[in-house]
Amino acid sequence: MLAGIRVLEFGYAWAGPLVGRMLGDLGAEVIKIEQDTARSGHLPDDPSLRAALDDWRRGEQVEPTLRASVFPEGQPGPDPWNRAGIFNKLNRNKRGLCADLKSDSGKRIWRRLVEASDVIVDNFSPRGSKSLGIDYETVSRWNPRIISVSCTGYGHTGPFRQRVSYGPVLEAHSGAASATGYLEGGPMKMGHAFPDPVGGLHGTFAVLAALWEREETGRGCFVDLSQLQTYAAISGELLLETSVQGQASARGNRSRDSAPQGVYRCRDERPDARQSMDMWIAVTIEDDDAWRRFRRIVGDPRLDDARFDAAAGRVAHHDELDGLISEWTRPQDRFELAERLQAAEITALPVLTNGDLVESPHLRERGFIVEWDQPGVGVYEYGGFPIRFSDRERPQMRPTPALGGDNRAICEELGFSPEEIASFVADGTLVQEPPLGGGR
Amino acid sequence: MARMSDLRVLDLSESVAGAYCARLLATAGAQVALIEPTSGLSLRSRPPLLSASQPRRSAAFEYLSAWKHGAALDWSTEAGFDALGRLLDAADVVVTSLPADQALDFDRRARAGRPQLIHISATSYGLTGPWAGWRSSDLTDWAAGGYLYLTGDPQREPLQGAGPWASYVAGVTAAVGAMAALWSRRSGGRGQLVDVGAMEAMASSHQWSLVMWSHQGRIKHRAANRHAEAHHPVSLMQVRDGWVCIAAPTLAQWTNLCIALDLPEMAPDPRYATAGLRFDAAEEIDARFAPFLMARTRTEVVEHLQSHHVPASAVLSMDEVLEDEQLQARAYWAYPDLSDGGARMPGISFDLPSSPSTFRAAPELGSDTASVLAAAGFGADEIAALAEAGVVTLGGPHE
Repeated sequence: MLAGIRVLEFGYAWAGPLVGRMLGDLGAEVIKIEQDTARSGHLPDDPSLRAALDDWRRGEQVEPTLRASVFPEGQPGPDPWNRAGIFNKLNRNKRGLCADLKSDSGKRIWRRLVEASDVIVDNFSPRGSKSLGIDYETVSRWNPRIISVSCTGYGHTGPFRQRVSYGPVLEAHSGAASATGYLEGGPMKMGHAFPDPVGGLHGTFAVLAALWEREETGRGCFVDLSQLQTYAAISGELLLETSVQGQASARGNRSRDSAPQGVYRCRDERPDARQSMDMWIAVTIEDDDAWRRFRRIVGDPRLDDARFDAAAGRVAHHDELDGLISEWTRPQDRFELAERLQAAEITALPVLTNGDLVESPHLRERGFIVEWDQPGVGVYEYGGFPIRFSDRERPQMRPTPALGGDNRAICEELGFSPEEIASFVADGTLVQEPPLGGGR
Repeated sequence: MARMSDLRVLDLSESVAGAYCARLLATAGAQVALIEPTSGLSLRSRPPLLSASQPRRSAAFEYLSAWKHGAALDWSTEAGFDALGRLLDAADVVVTSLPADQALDFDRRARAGRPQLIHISATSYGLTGPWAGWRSSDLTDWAAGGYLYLTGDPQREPLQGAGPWASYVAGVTAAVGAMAALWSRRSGGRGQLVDVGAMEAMASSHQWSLVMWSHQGRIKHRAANRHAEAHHPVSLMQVRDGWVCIAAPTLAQWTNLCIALDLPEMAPDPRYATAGLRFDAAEEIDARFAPFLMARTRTEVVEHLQSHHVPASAVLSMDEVLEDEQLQARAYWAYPDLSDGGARMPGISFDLPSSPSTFRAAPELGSDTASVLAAAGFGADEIAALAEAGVVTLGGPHE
């Protein structure tokens, strides 16, 4: 779809790389530009741990010095920086350039790249992009058609513009963490750094809208995207409510306009001999009719109580209802129960684990679960592309590039001679391995 | 060829996902017309409400419908669909949130003879697959997308987020789909159906949990306010007057954090040398940090840590966010004229060259019916006849 659009991605952690991945899945040529230390977090430098790995079995917690990278079968292998699952799942459909852009040779490469490209995406702090020379002021002089989308935590202006952040920090700052929580509890963060995908998806939209406008105006632009702002945007109605009514209070798993609603324990499962899991079902009873259908299925005479007939009564006695419903769900299989309730037009769904998502017949039939042969890693399954186009084949999945894996090809395409490229390698501008002891 | 401001979008959706998709297109400059039933959109009564005494005044509607024009048109009848058809003739994008069978039926009717039209369907499960016909709520969207199981206390039930954020994620994903489909049409393609489900949009918004299963066969568990597997601190932590978030996953940030907390001897300690070791020692680390943290306020801790380049923020309540100096300085807020004043909500969350320069409040029911119809080529007499027949409502609320 985006064939012919070239994107230069300076993505760190999650939000920036997600923009690149979405654009790559859509067919743009995405060049991921990394510093030599970019993958040093996946460098285990303690040789003694290799012995411990021989005893590792699927499903077990991985040895602590290796834990953050999600290596296949827990094994870092000979070039661990190219084998981390957490990295490889996020950087498919890209090309890899690893270059020191601050060197004289690097500056030459960078200028030609800018002149030959359409979009620059970064999620550095404003200070980081300036010191690297990728800031819009610099690049727009070389290519006035360039679009620069900078996805910082706080934005390029304002008193907090120099602050550093990760997703959980923005959850705290946006009010989302304080609004989330159990009825009687304190703030709660999400299970993943949710502001990152939210920011990355907004960044992708920003790129596409800016490209659309450029086709008519011929001019590029700078988009100053603050992830704090895109994250607060998904709480728009909560902020508006608060501005009119005062503070919004935590509401646990309850609904604002119907009852009962909750997450109820089901029969536990053991996915294999080593793991036991608590299993749950989410149920929402929207109205009185749904309540009557639900009561019939449960078949507990204690629910046939006039106090529960109307929504207001069910709200008033929510705790009592939760207890009765939990008694009923506890010995049951969450998938079978959800099937039964959905067949009676009652809103219910098993609470899915990460394993359930990968194995989901629904996601598989929709083609969301994909696999590719990652060089040096093998064939594994990954989450795919989340949009179905009726007039377009599903995106091909090209493996994540090794660090600097396309250095040579990209420099050739930019018109550098074999001698020049050899000199870039010799002077350390082009790199394919991280420095030793790069830190974790 | 067209600029963003030439794009015409019809928003027929009843869901947060569809409404947010259309709002994003509007804040990027597109002309968006909300087409709602003459009895009013159900979104108008979606909680949270602005006050108990105004059951039809929804904060969600006011927020999600800003920058949109509004037309009241009942397209469930033959005559109504004919009128809608003429709007579709002039449209680039139509957004719906219909159940799967109805969405596919609508798609056949709407796109027949309109090869240019892009139909964005934003639902919970998408339009195909074994769960396509299943019912959903905000809570089950969290369950379906795999975030519910991961959020909350490991000793308690899984916990949803405070808002319908899975729908918002589906909405921005759908907006990406709309722009991609427009781009495809521009380069020689046709219109098409773009099918987005919140379940997939959320499953696509996990960082490492899917590969944790496929690469290692491990189930990811809840970890309350800590990281669940490797790092520490990436946590909400208590200080004297409330909570802060401190996130120091890298070795450099860990070192800076130890120095900032006057515990420099912890930085080179081999017991804390890697992300996994720090995770395993989280209780011990927290106990050593506590005296410093509990002696200081949120503001003191956050400013101190940020000066050492350690990512940190206070856990702000929603009313504190409304007064936040960063968001104020960046002119983040829009001020809809609601209740007795003082209302504010996020405006345009990132400015594009094509973004509108002035605020437009959510439409009253039918307030732009005449202009929306006129823009699609209806004559004044035709509009009057449609109003007479009850197909459309002009002006104020329908009684």
